[in-house]
Amino acid sequence: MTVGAVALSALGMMLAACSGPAPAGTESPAGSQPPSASETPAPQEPQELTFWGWWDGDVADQIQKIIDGFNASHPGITVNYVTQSDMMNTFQAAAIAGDVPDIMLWDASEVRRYAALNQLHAIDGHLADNQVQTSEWNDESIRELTGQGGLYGLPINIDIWGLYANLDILKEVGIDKAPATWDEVEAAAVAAMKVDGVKVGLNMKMAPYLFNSFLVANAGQPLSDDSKTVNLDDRAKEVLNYFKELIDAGVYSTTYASAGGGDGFTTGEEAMTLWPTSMLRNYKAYAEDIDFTFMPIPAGRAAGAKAGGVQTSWSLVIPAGSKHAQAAEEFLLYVTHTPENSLAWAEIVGGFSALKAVQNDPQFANDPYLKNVLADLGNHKIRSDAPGFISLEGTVYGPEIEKMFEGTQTPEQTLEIMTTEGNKFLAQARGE
Amino acid sequence: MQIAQAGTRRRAAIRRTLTGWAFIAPAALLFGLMILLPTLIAVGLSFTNFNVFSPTQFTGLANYARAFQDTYFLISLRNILQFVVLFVPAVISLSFVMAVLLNSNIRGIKGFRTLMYLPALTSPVASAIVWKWLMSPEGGLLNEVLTSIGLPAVPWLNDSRTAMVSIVIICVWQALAANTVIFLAALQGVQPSVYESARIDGAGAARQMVYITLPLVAPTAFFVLTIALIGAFQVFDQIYVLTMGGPGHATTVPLYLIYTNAFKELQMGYASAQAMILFVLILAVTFVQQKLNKESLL
Repeated sequence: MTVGAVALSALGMMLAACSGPAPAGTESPAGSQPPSASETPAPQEPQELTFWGWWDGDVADQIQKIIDGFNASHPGITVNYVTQSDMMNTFQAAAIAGDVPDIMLWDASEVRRYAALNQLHAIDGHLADNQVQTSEWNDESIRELTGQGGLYGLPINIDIWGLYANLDILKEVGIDKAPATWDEVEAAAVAAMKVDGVKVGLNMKMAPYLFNSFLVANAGQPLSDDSKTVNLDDRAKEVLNYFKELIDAGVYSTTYASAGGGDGFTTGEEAMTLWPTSMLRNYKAYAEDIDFTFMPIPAGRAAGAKAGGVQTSWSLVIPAGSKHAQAAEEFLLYVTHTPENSLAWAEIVGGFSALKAVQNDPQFANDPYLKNVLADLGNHKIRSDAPGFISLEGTVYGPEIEKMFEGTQTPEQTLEIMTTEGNKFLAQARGE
Repeated sequence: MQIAQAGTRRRAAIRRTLTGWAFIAPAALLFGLMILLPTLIAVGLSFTNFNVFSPTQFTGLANYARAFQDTYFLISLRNILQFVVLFVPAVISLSFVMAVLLNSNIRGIKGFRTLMYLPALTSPVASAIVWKWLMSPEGGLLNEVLTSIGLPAVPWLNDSRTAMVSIVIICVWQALAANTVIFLAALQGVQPSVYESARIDGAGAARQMVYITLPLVAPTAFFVLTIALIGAFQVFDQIYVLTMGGPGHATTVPLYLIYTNAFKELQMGYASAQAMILFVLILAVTFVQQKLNKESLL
């Protein structure tokens, strides 16, 4: 990667913009509208749709089963799954060249940004035509896909970050149930450090990047009401102080790494750790060896705090330049709105179904891990779509809290920097 | 007669000139298309809000003003200067020492020369992953060695105080082979008779090194210095794979920020301005270094 390479990529994009069809939205604000009937092949003509997804291997095979079901029930439409490991960059180039796929598996937190750039196709009309209400899906998930006055995708799951606790280790120190509050987590983590082989009571490597989740679990609100400034009040200060308490208590060290580079939770080196629900797929493979549980980020110390945090989803979207938008709309509805498919997606990508009708299905209600989250699922909030907010965690909050973990700045200094730099970052993202 | 000869000479000169241009044409064409043109376009983009998808607007010097007010870009400039100061002297001195060792007539040295070049043939990404294992604070080979001889374990990439040094070690390992080969070629270009004369005059190995080897490989050293400097300012692969700029911004370098701004944040205009600032910085440092080199060679 050199300066020339960056410039060359920009050149490629510009040349493609000059030679290819105009990127949707760059010339016409109607880019986000569905293609007219004259642009879309008649339904009876065979249509080949391209579906881009991140996954390959076993996961792709499971996705293919859902696709096979659609293809079998929709004569004349064939959906072909293509793995794109670097989908964002590939899509940028494809959009400019006018050769986009028809369907994409997209991080829901990115949908409103690309919708604002007129790169996604609104699907409200198709839902209305089929008398399907958006209220049939999880409200927050739908909110994450709604922007510019339209709905730009359908959610296939709900993914949250939470706490994995090794109950075998906790039992050894006399704790027979999973900790449910910050104080209980701290007490359990401190106690677990006494167990042979335990190196960290709580793996906090990801905690700096989960600041907003902890803030929500402490009844905080990440942004001001007008979404223009960060809202790092006393509840935010409590989050940082809590992190510092845990570090000072010795339950985690920034120099920690699992022996052999593996996952310390599976080897018993970590009593507790922070990961998303999608990690369950991996951990369930160890269920015979480790008695563990999963729960949302526990309730904080502030008044009114509830277990919860930030949620996101994987979604299916249709690029604005899709040549088979109508058929793609049928695919989206078929694979997200039918209960069996919605359950299958949750199984494949992890987490919960975003379809309310099956949110209490035995697949979740009887799952020894997911059932702990069901009652608190409603406490989770999506990220704001304020410009720059999604990058704020990775660019400002995470690294600054890492410095606090290393002891190079206090929680007060960290909060001050997070406020100053956070506000500056948001202002710059708005182009001010 | 003289007029005819002059015409012949002129035609021959023109033919030579055209032949020369024909030889450099493919390289010049590729340079123009792949380097010069994109760079010129990037200069243009740096004055716009180009974001790939939306209509592009001229924003004047706003991107440059933003870059100089961007705390994390300024941190990245500080970090890259730290990297350059650590990396360049290390890679030049070590590759010179390696070249001197490889220039000796030990049995089997040719095989060792081949093996020594392997890091240069290894993908930076693949080798970075191996280094990640080697530098694991727990169970990593480096810490196993350190603790076995009674030294404390080092957090390497996991701590902001040691992360940049760890990146430097990895980059030096990667760059050592190519620079060693250049030094080796320079060493082998020194006529053996020069050393022979020095020996006859009673010069020992140290004097030969100071008064013969170092002055004669100095132009090569300056070339290696220039290449190493430019390469150091553009470190990216190892940081992208190993630290993503962390921990705590300790390894955030300009190219990493340029990449994230361009391809993750879709702020191509701003990323181009950052790239131009980096370009000017490299140009300035290279210019100063070249000037110093010329003065010291005179």
